[in-house]
Amino acid sequence: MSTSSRKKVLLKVIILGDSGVGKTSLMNQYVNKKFSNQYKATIGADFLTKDVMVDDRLVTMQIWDTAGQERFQSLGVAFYRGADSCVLVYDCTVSKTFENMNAWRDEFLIQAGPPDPDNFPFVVIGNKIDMEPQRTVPAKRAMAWCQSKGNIPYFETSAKEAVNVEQAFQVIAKTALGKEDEEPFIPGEVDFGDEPKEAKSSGCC
Amino acid sequence: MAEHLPNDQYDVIISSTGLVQSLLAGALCRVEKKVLHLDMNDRYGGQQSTLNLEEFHQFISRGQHSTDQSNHEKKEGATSLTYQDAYKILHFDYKKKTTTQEDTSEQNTFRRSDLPNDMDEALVSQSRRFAIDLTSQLLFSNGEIVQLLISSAVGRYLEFKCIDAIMVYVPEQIKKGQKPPETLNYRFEKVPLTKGDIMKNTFVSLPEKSYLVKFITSCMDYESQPEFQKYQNEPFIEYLRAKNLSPLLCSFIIYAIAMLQDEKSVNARDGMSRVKLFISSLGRYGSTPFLYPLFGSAELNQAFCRVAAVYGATYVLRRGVENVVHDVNENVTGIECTQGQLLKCSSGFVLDRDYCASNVVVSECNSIVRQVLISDSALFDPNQITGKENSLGCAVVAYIPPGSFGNDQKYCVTVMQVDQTSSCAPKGKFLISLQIKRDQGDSDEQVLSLLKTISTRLFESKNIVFDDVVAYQAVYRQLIRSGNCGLPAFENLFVCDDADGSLDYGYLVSRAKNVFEKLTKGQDFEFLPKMPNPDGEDDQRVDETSRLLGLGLEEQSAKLDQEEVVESKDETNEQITEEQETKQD
Repeated sequence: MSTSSRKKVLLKVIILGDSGVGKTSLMNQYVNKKFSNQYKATIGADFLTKDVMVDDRLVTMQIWDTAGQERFQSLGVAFYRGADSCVLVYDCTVSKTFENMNAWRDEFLIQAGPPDPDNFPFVVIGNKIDMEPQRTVPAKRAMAWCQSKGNIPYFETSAKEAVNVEQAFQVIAKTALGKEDEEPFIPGEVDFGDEPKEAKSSGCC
Repeated sequence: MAEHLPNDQYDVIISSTGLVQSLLAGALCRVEKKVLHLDMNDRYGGQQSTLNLEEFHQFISRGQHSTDQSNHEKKEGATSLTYQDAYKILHFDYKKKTTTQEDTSEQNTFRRSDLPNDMDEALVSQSRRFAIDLTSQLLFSNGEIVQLLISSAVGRYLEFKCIDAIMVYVPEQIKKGQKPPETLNYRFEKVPLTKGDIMKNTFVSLPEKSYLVKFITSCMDYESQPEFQKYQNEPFIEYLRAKNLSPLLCSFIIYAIAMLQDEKSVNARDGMSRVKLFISSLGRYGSTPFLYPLFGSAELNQAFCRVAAVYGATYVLRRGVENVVHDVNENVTGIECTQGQLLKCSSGFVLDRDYCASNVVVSECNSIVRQVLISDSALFDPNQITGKENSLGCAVVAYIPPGSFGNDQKYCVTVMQVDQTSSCAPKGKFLISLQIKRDQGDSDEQVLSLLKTISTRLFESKNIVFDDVVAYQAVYRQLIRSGNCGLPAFENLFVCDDADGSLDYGYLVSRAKNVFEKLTKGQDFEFLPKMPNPDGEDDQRVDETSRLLGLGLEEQSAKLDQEEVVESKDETNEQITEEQETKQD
């Protein structure tokens, strides 16, 4: 349990962005290949996991949903903890959601406190490109922003029509994997998935 | 900022994210109640908050909230709330920057500037690596809260560290025939808890060892013993003496095992029920019965709040409550929050004690006084505690029985030391807290000076000068308010008492269950039941989740390497339950 030297193949990925940009839909499309047109402010979404191959390595991606706590900027620090990658999502038909990307990025860097904030692996997703006629955020503008923040990989997706979703998450896995082993990882001794230790140390009763 | 909240006809509105409220929110959402959960702070945790150094320093240096803010207008059909802070800051101090450290800090853009400019740079740059609990709490491995975490699967959000050792501050033992010295030397001794530890121990004498083993073995069915029958209403200490336990063993049992504040106030019945709780948690995960959440106790609050959020609760930080609105039948119908918005709720309203100050007289309240230290040097050496060379660190809880530092010390002082192994401090730093109960009449200054004396002398006894190693210290008093809260007795208004200052979570869990039962009266709901087995749609998700749940992260990766797959959630859960049952046998 305490082999801190072994490469961690479980990656924690968190998805951030304003309410309604399609965070949960992206996750669902990627993991479950499903899309529901009916918007419900996230209920019942916790985290999804998916195994992917990255450069011949099997990696388990654990993708965490905000569970709606982003709505009033009320995500707790525990949510951000130990993230290997952060996906910033906006809705390309709503400019405000793009403008808030700065705030989400800063919030992440402050809360997660990665040792090297300038090189932390972000990925940016402009979602809902199936609604192209209503687009208000030009791709150029988004790409310029990504470039200014240290060349963040940028994708335009449609969670509804499964456009580019697979590709985006493949890059997310890859960037997250590149980040690992930067800091020493001290695992906890107990999580409740563990089988309790044999009673050998309890000799007294 | 004044964003309006959706007025969705909530069933329950909960204020503050203390543990009672967080448990309650999780439990209510699991039975499909519509919950709005507010907190006036910009963080989760309420009285169980865990702060990084910057947040902690803000908390310490902000001065005191005025106890009277009741200048908002009185309204018909509404009771306005008066805020009272549970905390009073008694002292703080920090290591100053040396001249060679001038302003290298500007490079980091994400350094907030809330720490004083003259603070030691090593502290400032590592501020976020500290996780400082406002109250010390530990989980009994077999306690109710751990059972809840396992059965409800909330535990999957958390990781824990076992407390490595429990220590008691005791006088040196005088050998037979030896002349007792004029002043006794005290030191911390490890309380041996397993048969192996007891036998290996060199401090406890041979006859004491056999008495201790006998005592621990017999305490699972103490009720049936004639001696207990005779003594059950007598002071606990008399019962222990009657069992021929030496003063040393009595100290171990009263302070480290029953975790009492003094030896007088508890009778044998209560004392033994506490001993039983402790002993029944032994041998489950480590050599002591305690677990501590990595990153501090507020992780628990956040885990329960996350479950609530996943099941539909609305979370709003930075929003307090001003007025409670009620109808002619004295039923609360809604609340008015700090930005003036009126929010309705149908079943009930849960309030924190902080809002019910109208009749609290501080001098009539019991309280806890707590000293928090950030030190470069450990009080309990990790190598010694863990028995390993180059140990990364350790987590220790220690007790200083009353009187060890003179007659002024009326109660037991609880000491806790955590470090990087609990993810509570950066490498090389130790987070040490001392806390003691303060009686109604005691003066703050007296308790403050007692704690300062104790911590200084503890370092001295290791030949360390306090000021050389302590980079930050703060002392504050926390009220324990309970009973009549001074608000009219609305049937659907529930006020959570302050945490009672005990280390374990038993009291808080029972409070949460109690309010849950009242809020769901007649509906026969289970408190935080197992996660449901959802139909079809989310099958894969649950399978995946249960794999993580069942195996633990590192195990998980090991399994993946071997390309093995665990079948279903039920199987995994059964495994856990079976494990538990075997333990109980």
